[in-house]
Amino acid sequence: MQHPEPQPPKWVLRFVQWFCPAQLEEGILGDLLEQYEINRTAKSRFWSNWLFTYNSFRFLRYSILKRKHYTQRSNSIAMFKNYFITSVRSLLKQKFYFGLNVLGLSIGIAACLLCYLHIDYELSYDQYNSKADRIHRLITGDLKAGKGWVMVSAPMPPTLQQNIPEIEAYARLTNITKDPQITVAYERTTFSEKQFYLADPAILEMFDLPLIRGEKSQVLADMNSVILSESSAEKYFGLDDPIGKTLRVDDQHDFQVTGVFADVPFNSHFDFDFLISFQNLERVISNGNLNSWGQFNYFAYLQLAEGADPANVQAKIQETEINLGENRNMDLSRIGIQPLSEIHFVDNRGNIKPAYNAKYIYIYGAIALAILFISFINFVNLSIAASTKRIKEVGVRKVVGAGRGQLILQFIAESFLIALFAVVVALVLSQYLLIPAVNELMNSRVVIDFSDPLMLTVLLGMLGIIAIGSGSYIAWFIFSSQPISALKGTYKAGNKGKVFKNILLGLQFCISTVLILSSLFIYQQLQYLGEKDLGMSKDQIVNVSLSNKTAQDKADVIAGAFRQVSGVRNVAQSNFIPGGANWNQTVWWEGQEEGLSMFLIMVDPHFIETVDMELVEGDIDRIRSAEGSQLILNEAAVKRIGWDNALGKPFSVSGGQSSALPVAGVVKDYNFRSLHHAVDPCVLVVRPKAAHSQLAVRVAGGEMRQVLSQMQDAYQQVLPEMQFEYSFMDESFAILYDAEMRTSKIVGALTVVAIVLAVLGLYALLTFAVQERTRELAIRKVLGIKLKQTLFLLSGNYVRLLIVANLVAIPLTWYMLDGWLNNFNYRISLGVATFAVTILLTFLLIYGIAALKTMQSTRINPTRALRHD
Amino acid sequence: MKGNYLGEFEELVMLTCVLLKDEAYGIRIVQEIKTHMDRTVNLSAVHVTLYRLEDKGLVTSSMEGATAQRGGRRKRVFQVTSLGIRMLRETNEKRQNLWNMIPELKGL
Repeated sequence: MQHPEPQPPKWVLRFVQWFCPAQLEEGILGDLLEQYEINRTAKSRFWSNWLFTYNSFRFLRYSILKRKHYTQRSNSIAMFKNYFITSVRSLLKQKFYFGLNVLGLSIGIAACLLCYLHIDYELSYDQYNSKADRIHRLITGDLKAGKGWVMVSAPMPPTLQQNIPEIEAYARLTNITKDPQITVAYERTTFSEKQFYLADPAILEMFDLPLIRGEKSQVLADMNSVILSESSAEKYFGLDDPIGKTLRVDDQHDFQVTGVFADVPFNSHFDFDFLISFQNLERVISNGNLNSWGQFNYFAYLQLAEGADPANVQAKIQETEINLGENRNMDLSRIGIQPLSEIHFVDNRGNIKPAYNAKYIYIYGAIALAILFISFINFVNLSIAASTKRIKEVGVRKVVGAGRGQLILQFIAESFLIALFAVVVALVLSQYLLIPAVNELMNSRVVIDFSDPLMLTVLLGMLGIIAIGSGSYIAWFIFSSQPISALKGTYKAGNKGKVFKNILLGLQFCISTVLILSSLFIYQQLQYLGEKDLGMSKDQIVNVSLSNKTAQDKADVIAGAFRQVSGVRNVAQSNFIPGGANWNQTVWWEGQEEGLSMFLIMVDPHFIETVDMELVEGDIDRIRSAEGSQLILNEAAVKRIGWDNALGKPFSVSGGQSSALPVAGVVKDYNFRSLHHAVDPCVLVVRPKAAHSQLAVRVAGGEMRQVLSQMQDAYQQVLPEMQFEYSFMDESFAILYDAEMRTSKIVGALTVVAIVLAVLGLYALLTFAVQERTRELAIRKVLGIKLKQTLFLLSGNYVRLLIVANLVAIPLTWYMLDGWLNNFNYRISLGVATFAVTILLTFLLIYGIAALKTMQSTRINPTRALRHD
Repeated sequence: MKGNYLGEFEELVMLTCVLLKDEAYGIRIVQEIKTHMDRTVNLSAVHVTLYRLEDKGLVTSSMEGATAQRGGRRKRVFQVTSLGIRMLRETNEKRQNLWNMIPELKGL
């Protein structure tokens, strides 16, 4: 029987022949074929073919390939050397453009790099916790939309854990004081601390908070124990061993140090320096109640079992029924859970650190890309302009026999060289100049980490795209202008690539305009927020904090002393801090149908006058002279309840009917939080005799410094051992717009960068245009052109481009800014005047640059320019 | 260079070469190692090793005898040089010395 000889796959054969060194090919292929023939006798055709392919590919390795001799090797080295030399020469010959190119590109790359680092940092929040995906926080209210309240009441977490098996552990957390600070003393050293927290010991196991001293299970077991951060331990005890030392808190409670924990990482949503057991709640917080279901004032974290479905847990929480006795049921249907990873990005009320609006990731990202794009366009345009001088070089190369591929490679390599240089400059700039500045501005701890593979990919990616993109475009541009003709002397620098160049330039104008407009409007919005009528006065008010019990007990005396200071108009006691007012409690009124919690602000009778609130209902004199507690609602609260007239209606902030008081008055809505939000329902609890933690001092104007120093003297006389700590209320309000402040600064800085880049690019392009048109301008000059005409001649094209760019930029800006402004409850409208002014300015800028070049072009000496013709 | 010694696989391939004499070419070496050592090695590994040994002067090669098999291609037959033989001996002796120095292993 004649069998046709079995044949392995042809393409594999050809492939082996292609990559194998000639001198080895016969031996290798022979062996492969012999193996194949042996296989065919025992195995199926498919299987043998596969084995053959596999074995062949195993030969594709460096130790085989290196034996291949490239006959042209020595030649091409000389060629590449020549490419390199001519590239370097041509770059050095045009130092100005080279510098401009590198600078522009490096700014673009640095912007992208910083943006990447920033986003990476923000996304890293809380991710260092090994159980991050299982930790959730209990919140109430609108869960997703950022209208939730992130604290719940103390008995809720333990009860939920008992009822729901998926909840492995819970940890409650709360600051010891709702006021900014509290005193902590060790022997004779006293500091005011802002980050003194109560927590369940489970928090140490739940989050990755390593202890430097002490055992996690032991340190908070005792009510009188305190653990503190490493840096705080150093602050109080220096090099001494902190264990066993006693800290006196609020001048009334003693705690023994039992452990030291590593400082909480900066990229955490919480930050605390001291922790004591949560069981101290009733002892150290005046209204604190471990059993009250209505006090929504404590953070609560749940650790879910591995594999538990959060949605399922949430459903179970909402179905849980809790009987409060007296036929009252606790309604948990508005309680939800929020994963740890979301805490940093959802602007819920009550967050410890201001949330990071995820939209900013897109904003910064878009701007960084825009700047990179602008610098890329500059780079390409400049290279093209400069390359017209190298047409002859390319022509000679072609004559000598350079292939198209080689020439393209040369330009890509050249671009790569510049881009590499720019990357290095960008890294140096970032490391030493930009990153410190950005960290300062954004209050972050960003560092360049060269072991981060993603960052390296981003950098190399940018490098590659820039090199290949611009290099091949330049090469294409040169080829299309037929370099051979340059040698014949018939070459004219013409309009090649003009359309593309114009598109790039137009885009650049467009981006610049969008950025200028955006930064102007963001600035206007911030101005507006600063000047918005809050419904109360914030100027000329000094807040003096009373950081411990001793000070609070003497509040009346201090207030009296302040009143004696000339220039002080009014003094009021309160617990009010701008953006604070974090006490949230369920309220009761007659005929109530649904459970509702409102914010409570404790004040004394002088508060309303001191901060200029307007009383809509009620009588200020009666409120001032009353002996007992009184309740004053704001309009939002009255509206929420649905009353037409609130005066005298029974209302309670602590339990039910038994503790109800007639409403003593209604004040006009005032913004006690940031203007992102509408005014929340709020109750002013007027208590003439109670201790408060803040003194609001209204100064009549005049010499603020003098008044302050007199106030300090008065304060020190009453409390010689305490620090006089004060803040201005308008500044405290300004802090609420921190995120927007930063955005404004960053967008402003980036806008300046973009404008500078655009101006530089335009300047360079005009320089080339003038150079190219020297003869034309000289002839025109001979024929008597006027200065004004030259100006229009040179700028005409750019002005047309700018008009088109504006037509795109204006609607785009309108759309984007309108979206941004909708974040705010109180916002400006987009004024036509700003648009008009901006557009006018950009036109002036273009004419300005063109005028500069026009002045230079008048210096052209026609006889010299036309000598060769 | 790593130094003047033989790798384990290099030694194995060379020994097989000596054993096979005139038949010492790629595929035969693979088969021989399979039969004597019960070890599956890849053809390309053997080739690469032989080329490396050739660079070091431990083996030489020549193209020999075309047959109908192998698509009419000749075989590259390898021969261990005298330097190679010396290397093999030295390697073996040195290893034996080591064995002799360990009394616990002697009885085995």
